Amino acid sequence: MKKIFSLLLLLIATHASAGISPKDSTKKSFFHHLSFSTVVCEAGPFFPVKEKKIRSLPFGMNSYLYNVQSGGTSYGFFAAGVYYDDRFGVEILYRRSSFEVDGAEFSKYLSSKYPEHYVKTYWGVNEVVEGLAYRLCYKFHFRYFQVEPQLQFGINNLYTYDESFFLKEKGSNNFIEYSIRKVNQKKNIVDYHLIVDILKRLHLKGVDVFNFELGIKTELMMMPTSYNYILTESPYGGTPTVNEVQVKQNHLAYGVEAVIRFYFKR
Amino acid sequence: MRLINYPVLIFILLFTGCTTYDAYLYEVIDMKAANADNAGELTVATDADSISKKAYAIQLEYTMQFAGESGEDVDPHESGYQNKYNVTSFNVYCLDTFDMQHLPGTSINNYFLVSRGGSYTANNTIEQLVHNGTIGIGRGYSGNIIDTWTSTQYLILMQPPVNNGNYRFVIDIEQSNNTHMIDTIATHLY
Repeated sequence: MKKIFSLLLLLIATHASAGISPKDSTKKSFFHHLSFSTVVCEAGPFFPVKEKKIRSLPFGMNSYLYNVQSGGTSYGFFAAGVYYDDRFGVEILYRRSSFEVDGAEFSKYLSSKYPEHYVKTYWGVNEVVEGLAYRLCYKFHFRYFQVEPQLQFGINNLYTYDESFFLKEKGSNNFIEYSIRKVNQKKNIVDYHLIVDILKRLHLKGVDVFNFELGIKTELMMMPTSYNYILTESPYGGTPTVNEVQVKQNHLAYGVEAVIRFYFKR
Repeated sequence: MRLINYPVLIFILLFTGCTTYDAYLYEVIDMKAANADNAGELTVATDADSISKKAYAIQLEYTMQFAGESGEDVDPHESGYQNKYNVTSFNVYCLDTFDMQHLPGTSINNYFLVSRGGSYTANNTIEQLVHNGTIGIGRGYSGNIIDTWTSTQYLILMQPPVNNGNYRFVIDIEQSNNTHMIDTIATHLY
């Protein structure tokens, strides 16, 4: 990822300098074509899409994973971007998205599988994806606004955790420990975004150094993951039963966010 | 500002945010045992004459007394609590014949798991409790440091006796200040 980024910067520099003759003093230097931006905030709701193939997973994994909830949040900050001629740009930023999987269905699954045991209410899982993201951007300038399609890639830390359930037998001290352990099958978790920003650039009176850009961002995200779920049912004093389920998910989601940026003039 | 000052400033900021505090100390001064019933979702103490042996538990109520601070840097919002004296032995035995392997006076520690009234696992053994060395808990900050308070713990009987009948259990806890807390309870198990 970093090599691609560096190559792009080199391409910009090469392209910019190709048309400039060292003897032609009327041409502007490469750096004169550059301008910079930084994101103050990008934040908004995040809507994961339920994947139908999850419905067919065995051993309760369909109940555990399917019911991904809308209403998560996604936001980005600490961004730095550089644009050539206020059109083609690259940006690096820190992004964080969170989404929840409701636990009610999995609670019902455990209750029906173990009718003679108490099952405590299971609230579900909140998974967080965060890490650095890299963007390629292009601005289309119109009279009153600008449209900026972007391609974004990020290598993430996906915070997910193992879980265990205490199932106590009714009328007895006996119990079952039910655990779900997650083993990542991918070396890196990469997310891909297709984004369109619609922004209005505001010039502040008396301020020549920068402009504000305000607008909305719409994005479609995909984050392929592959996990082995190891399910262990351990009755006290008995022999554990272990089942393993490999789950590949695309984690499709779409989001709408408000964007506030500083754009620094040349 | 000189360039060298920036790393120094960052160093200072990082370390002033990482203050560690000394702990408040408590002593466990008393232990009372009672019969408990674990048939439901939670373990509860009971005065019933008979208890199902499959769901029998022993409630231990500890009385803690405030015993000062482990150092000078204490903060009522930040400091934790520490038991002044560790548990050095914890013994549960029956005054009656529990089963053929456990005649009167023989330890039946390995027949019990330890719980705080909610969940427990196969690792919550009495042996693990002694290894950790701590019984009782601190008192949460409520605006004042309270002199004495209580907490409960349960011993869950995982291996019931084969025969129904009357049983008397003794719990004997020794701490590192060479004190023993001993209590006896009697019940009818069916």
